[in-house]
Amino acid sequence: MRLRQIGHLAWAGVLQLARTRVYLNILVAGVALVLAALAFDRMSAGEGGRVLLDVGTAFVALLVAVLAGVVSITGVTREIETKVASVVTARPLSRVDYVLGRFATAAALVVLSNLALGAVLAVVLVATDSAHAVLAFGAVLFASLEGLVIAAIAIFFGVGSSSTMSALFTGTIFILGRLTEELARLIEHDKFGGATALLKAVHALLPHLPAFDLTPLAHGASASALDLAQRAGYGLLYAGAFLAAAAFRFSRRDLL
Amino acid sequence: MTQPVVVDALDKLIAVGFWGKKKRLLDAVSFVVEQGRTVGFVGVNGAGKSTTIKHLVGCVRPTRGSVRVLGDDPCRPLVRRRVGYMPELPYLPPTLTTMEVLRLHAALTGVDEAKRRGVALLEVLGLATHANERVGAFSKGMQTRLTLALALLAEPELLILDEPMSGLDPVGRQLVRRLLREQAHAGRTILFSSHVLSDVEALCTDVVVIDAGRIVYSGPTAGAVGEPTGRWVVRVADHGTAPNPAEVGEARREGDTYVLSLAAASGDEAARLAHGAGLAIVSLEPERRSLEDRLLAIIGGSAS
Repeated sequence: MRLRQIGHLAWAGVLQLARTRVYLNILVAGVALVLAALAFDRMSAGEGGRVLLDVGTAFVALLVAVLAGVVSITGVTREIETKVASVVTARPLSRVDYVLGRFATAAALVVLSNLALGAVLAVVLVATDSAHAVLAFGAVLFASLEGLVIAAIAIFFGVGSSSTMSALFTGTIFILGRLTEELARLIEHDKFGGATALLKAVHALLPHLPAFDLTPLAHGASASALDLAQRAGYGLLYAGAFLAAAAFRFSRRDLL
Repeated sequence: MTQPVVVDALDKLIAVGFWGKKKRLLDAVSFVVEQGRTVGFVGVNGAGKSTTIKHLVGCVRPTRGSVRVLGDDPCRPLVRRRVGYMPELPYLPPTLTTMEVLRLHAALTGVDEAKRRGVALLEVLGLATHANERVGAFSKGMQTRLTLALALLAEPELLILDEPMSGLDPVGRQLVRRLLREQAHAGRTILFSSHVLSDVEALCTDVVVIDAGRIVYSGPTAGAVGEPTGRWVVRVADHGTAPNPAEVGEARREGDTYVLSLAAASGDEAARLAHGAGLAIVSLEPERRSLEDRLLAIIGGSAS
């Protein structure tokens, strides 16, 4: 029963967002950026498509993170602001199920987008005789986890703030999450004195988004199946924690 | 038998502005809706009607006091399966079609028959030919009809309707009135808010009046509209000449009769006045206050 309700809510969300053009525009921008990566590759002759792989996957990851944020904020915050959410939650549907339904919408769109953009990147790599097409497709698909984490964070902020504030908070966390490796290095060098403990706590709380970037594998780095499973598990747990917090926050919110 | 709606000493305070200053929306609101009754919830704009209704469908939690719907806390999803809710404005996802909205809400109600019933309701409400059109392109009246169909999907025991006639043309209003009468005859309990007091008078067995977040009247509609004004409505036969305004005031022609409004302490006195003017009385009854007069008097009284 609950799964059926969540599924219907998610599907309706996919239909709504796919028809708003925002989603399509982001997707078209993604394809354009992947094609633009070709230009970078041409400027670095002899790299055998590595630049194309790096730049292409980076563009896709960025686009999908933006898409995850926009789709989640549009799906939740806008729906609360326009009071559509109050009609849906007046049904025999718990607030937890509402949050899960909206997350499922974002997850479906993130995975679909990554499939599409990964396929475009793989085709471009094949067309340029690069040996990394399969790896690129796998890396882009794995980067869906980053999109899921960003979606969960956006929903957490979205259920309690305005669209603008949600976008601001989510964007900040995304940028900081991308810099966690640099932050870890700074902490290692102990340059902050008494603030180090605070920074360690911030580092632990931030999403470690570089964990979902598999392009280093193309440069000779190795990763075991266990390592990949741990990264995936981390991403799902992190998203789950934010969703739980979002559901708790939303269940206490008045939809006046 | 459980009373479908019990609101007891309900307070609602919200934080407004940057500093979160407290604003009181509801002040010790208490009323009961009995099984099978049709209750009108009236009050001026900003009186607290929609806020109270949102408590009844679990959208808002009380600051103090309690709300019970069908014997349960409305914040629990299960009880809302037995409640049909229509919001004050048709908050519908604009990019979905009528059928998609219907399918979504039918699935959310968790009632197997809901979709089939929804399709039948589209027919009744004149929306069947618009089943595959996006609701964002609908007029407000069409959206209101669709929202009403969604409220009736699961054949709920309790209908909570916030301004169900809002934005409807006369045909739509007539249709909705008929639907509400049918629901009432089927034994359903209905609570609806409205600014159109003639609708409330015509449809409701009881009325709850709210003003500035406080309940100022709760009881039978007859009690609210039944007070005599001190005048008498006298219908007299038309014998070819109109009643003399100097003797009995202005007369209104209705069919083959004239209707007069006479100031008199009793029916006998009103009859004597009419006979004295040489008029043949067809019927005579005390003029009673309309709900609108009574509402204005109640709200005026509570404000002073």
